[in-house]
Amino acid sequence: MIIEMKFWEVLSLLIGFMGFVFAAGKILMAQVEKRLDIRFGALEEARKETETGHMRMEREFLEFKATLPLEYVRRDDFIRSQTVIEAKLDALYSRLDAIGKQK
Amino acid sequence: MDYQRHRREAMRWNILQMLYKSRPYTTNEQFVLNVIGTIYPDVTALELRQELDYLSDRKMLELTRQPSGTWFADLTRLGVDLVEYTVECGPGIARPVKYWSE
Repeated sequence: MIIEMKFWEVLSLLIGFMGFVFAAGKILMAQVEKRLDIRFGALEEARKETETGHMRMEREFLEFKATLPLEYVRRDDFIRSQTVIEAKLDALYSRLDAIGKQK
Repeated sequence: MDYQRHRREAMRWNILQMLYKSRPYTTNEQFVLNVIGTIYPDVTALELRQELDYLSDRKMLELTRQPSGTWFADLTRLGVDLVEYTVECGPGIARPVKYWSE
């Protein structure tokens, strides 16, 4: 089978084919781009959520740091003051005891 | 009772009291010195070490002497019982009679 075509026909066919390939490529690229956009959007969303969580945690920690000295006594301070108070009580007791024995 | 004797015996009792409050952790000698220094402002590091050593000899506390020079003290079972008035005190430590009821 012999197909005879004129140059202009071949040219228009070629241009048509190239147009088709170009359009198909463009559609494909658009789809890829759309999916990438969705994926990046999800990533961005996740990043924002994480950042909000971090900011909340930082805020809570700062609040904790601020209320810490109001609500808690240092272990060392407790031991120190308690021991001193008990030593004073013991001394007071021995003084009273001595006075009681004198009488 | 002469002053020196009263002082060291009372200091031993105060050390035991303090270590009792620090349980279950081991206490640095420096912190003990700091606290005892509040009760006896003129206490020296040597005096404190002598009393710690005495209490260690009586098996009331366990001393960890680090090569760096720092001592660490931790009450033993006997020391805890003594502070809790479970065992007899014996001479050498000015433990007052139990003048309170729990």
